[in-house]
Amino acid sequence: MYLLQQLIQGISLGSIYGLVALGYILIWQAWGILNFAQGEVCAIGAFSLLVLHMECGLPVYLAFPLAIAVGMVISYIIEFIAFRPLLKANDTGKLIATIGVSICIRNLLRMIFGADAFSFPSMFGDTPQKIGELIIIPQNIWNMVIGFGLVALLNLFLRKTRMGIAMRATAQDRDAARLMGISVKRSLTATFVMASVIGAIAGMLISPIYLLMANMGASLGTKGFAAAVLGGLDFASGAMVGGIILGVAECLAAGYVSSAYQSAIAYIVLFLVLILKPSGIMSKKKAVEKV
Amino acid sequence: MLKLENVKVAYSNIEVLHGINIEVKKGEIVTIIGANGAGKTTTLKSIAGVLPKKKGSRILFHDKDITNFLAEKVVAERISLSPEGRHIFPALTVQDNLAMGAYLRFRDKKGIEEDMQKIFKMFPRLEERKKQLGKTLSGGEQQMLAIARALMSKPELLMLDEPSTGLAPLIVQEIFQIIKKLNQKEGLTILLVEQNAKMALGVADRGYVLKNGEIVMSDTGANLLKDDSVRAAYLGENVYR
Repeated sequence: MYLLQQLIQGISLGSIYGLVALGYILIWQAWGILNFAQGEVCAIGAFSLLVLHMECGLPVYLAFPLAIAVGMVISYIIEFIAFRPLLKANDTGKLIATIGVSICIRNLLRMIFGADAFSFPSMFGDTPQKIGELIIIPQNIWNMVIGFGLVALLNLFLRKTRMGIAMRATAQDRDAARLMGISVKRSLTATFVMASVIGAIAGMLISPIYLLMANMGASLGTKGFAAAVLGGLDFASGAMVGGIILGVAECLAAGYVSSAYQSAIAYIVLFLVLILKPSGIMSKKKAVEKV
Repeated sequence: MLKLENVKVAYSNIEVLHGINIEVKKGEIVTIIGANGAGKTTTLKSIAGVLPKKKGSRILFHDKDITNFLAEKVVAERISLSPEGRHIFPALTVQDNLAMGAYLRFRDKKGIEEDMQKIFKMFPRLEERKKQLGKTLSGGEQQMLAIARALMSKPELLMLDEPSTGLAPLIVQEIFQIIKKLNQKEGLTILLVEQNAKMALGVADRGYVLKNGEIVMSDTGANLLKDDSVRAAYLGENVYR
């Protein structure tokens, strides 16, 4: 029973990591950049919700979509300022730019909200449900539902809609996409904003579980990155798999070893993947030659 | 229909097209032949709006100045390019590849569906494979997909860049038959760039010979095929025997 309890906890947490990882992967595939500001984008989502829900007193069903809209606008600004001008820059330049953006946002958040932690009430009620000996918190279930729901929706969007297919086409071959009449810039912007919104939602979902802090993006970003690498950056399907493996591993480590090790798991996973299977567990390739 | 006047293109500082003049009339197949690095692909890319042109260049389509149109806008003018190296979308299905070809025609759902059926009739092998990913197709099928995808935008002018590269002779034959058919049955105007000069001049009404970024000769396809210098330089024949 204890094991099952940890598993539920882990899958719930992992769904959130999976969403963060999905943000990394979407941007990686479209832009060819690892966006190290992805964690901060999550923080923006969480803080927007904090302001709208707690400070302004809007009910969750209003605050949630509004916070998503705020995330969209801010991510568009980030894309406009820091990413679009670097479309033709070299990879190192792009990478450093994303790190710069992440530092900027983190410190802006610290200036506005201070370095202290905020606690955030659960959006879905705190009453735990008992099923036998299992204790299930509504938030856990909702994390999974929203996590998997979003992935399913995204999949549907990318496979069935004209815009979604165009976004995939752009990611696969920019030059050819232009020849089709697809506006590559618009398509890349759409991908960026979408990845950021998914990140922002992940940030909102995790805020009741962990404390909300200005530098929460750093740890959440690392975990999402570890999950993305674990699943394989070239496989969107890997994000959720990577996220859940990481989430379960964290919860098992916390439950059976010591909660002190929980945060170390992401790094251990990252380390192991990079040594044993750098292309991620979803790939069929044995090893990658790319450095 | 299409007129290139004094078109100059440079990659950073190196000018590779030194002011070329080309004309394509409605209903024609026009070919540009030349050696590697002569500027053939550059010419097509500059028409397609992928490359910036130097000052003084002019590209007219139906007497409309499209010199500085971006690629997206050139497609909207109904000029489409099947690029060198095919450039199909590897992880999209054949069907989605074709749908992307019709990206700008989204208001014309019925027309797209009809054209898709027409294309499947023309390329039955693409219909068999319509649910497969682009990268799983053979080279010849990929070339057919690239041409079919370019056709999906319903172009008035179809530009083909090296459709025969890397294909077996029988498949090259097949591709050229399709090109001919598109021109004769559908009345499509075609601008064809080829290294396979013999095949290209065989189907073309007129041809241009491009050498080091300049047009050095232009004539009907048949005359160029008979020309000694062309035969020596591009058809590998010993004309002095």
